[in-house]
Amino acid sequence: MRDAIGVHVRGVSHKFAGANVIDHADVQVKPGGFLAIVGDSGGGKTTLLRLIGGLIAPSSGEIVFMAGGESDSQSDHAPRGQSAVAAAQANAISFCFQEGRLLPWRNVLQNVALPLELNGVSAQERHTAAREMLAKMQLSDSEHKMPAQLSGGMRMRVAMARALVTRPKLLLLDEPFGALDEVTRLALDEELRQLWQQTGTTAILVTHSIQEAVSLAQQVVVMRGKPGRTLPAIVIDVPKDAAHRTSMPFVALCERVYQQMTMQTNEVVEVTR
Amino acid sequence: MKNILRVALPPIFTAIALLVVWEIAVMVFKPAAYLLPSPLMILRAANVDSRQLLQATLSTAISAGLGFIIAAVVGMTCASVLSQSKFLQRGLYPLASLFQMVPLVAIAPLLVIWFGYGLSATVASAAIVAVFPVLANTLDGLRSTDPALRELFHIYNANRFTRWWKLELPSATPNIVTGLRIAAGLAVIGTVVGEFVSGYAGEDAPLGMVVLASMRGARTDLVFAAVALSAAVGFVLFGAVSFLGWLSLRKWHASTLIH
Repeated sequence: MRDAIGVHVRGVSHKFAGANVIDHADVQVKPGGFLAIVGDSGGGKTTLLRLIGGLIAPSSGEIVFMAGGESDSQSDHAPRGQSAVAAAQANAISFCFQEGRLLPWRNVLQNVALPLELNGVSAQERHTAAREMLAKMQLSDSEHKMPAQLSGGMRMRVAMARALVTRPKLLLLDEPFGALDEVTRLALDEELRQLWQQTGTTAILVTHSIQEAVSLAQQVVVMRGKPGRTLPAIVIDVPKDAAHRTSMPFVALCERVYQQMTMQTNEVVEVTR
Repeated sequence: MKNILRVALPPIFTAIALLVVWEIAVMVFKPAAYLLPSPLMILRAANVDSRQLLQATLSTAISAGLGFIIAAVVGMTCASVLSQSKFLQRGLYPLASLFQMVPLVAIAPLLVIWFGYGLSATVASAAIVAVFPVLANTLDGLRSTDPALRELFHIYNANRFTRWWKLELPSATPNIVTGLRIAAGLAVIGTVVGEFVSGYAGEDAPLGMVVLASMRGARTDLVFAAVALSAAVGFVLFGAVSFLGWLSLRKWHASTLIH
């Protein structure tokens, strides 16, 4: 798919202040794929996302990026990988955070244009690009509003527009809708799913909502324990239409994820083997 | 407009009421004029010497204004430099705090020695007292920038200067405005103290000198007039700074809401 990049996390461990936060995490997502990582708070999900995004470096293990177009087997044998930092610097990676992290003194347009501005894109070009993005998300009317004038849901949509304005090859979402009410959250889930399809970017979503994970992703990885360990990915093979959240296969998949999250530790070891 | 009146009217009424009480008290108790003149007596005296008083007010305002601008520029620049280096911060900031403890009245004579009698000494005196609140508040503001937003700038490869200019400085604006407002009042105080020790007689003698000269001549009414005018200079400077602060913050900061 287009020029999205895949990610292969291999045996990554991370120590913080002497203690292991993540222990031998293994995660893989194909170029253009959608992966969700679920688990309870403090389980290292966010840390794993930050490792993938190059914000922090792993204590051990490796994170490899694979360009699209290559077949899976090829990249498995000889990954033409990039380091996390290099990929981020090429603007291949974008983040979307829970609180939105908008600059309160800038209006919507200036906030969306920020990533381009910081990379030296001229005012005219970056505003054109930002307006295009806003139009795509039906935010054009709010162009001149300040973040304080927006609802929580609107703020998140602006944050998503900002994350996508650089046309990222990999989009990392850290609990993006965790603070929103249920109705807004469902609407934004659907919007995110459509944006992912339209842009063809690879997406990795960290969430504590099983339903959100199963309804959006192609694969769900459960992360649990202290230090956090990843369980083998669950492939989500239900159709992604609006009514699927109540379908039997959807409920069954949610149940599987739930079981992985709640089973006893000795069973986890078995599954991991 | 309605909001402005709601904020401005109560203190104005209080002030008028106090002046009326003062006027009546002087009428009733009849203290000697050199002890306590009445507001109307002060007004009359000020009217007689209005030309000299206006000239003095202008001199003081120029000195306070210049001192304030120097303090603002130096304070914000130093804070910005210090905010970029933990090393410099550890070494210099405690010294800056200590410097703040030195009484201005004690070093004012030094300023006369260094700058001579006249404007430069009073400007220096104003700048010296006004610089620290700007420095301290700006530095606080720069340092308390949301780490999450710093990370955002890091993700998009912003360099240090960009981060300072586009993130740290705007997010420190509320603190900077607070520092500047404190500095506005202090600049006038610093100027008048400077004028006491280094002021110059003559046509353009500043308010501090008017106070000294009137005191020697037992012209308490003129002392009051000069004191009121120097307070007015401070008030105008404070008001101007507050207005500029409000302009820069009104779109996004909670402090600008009128309750």
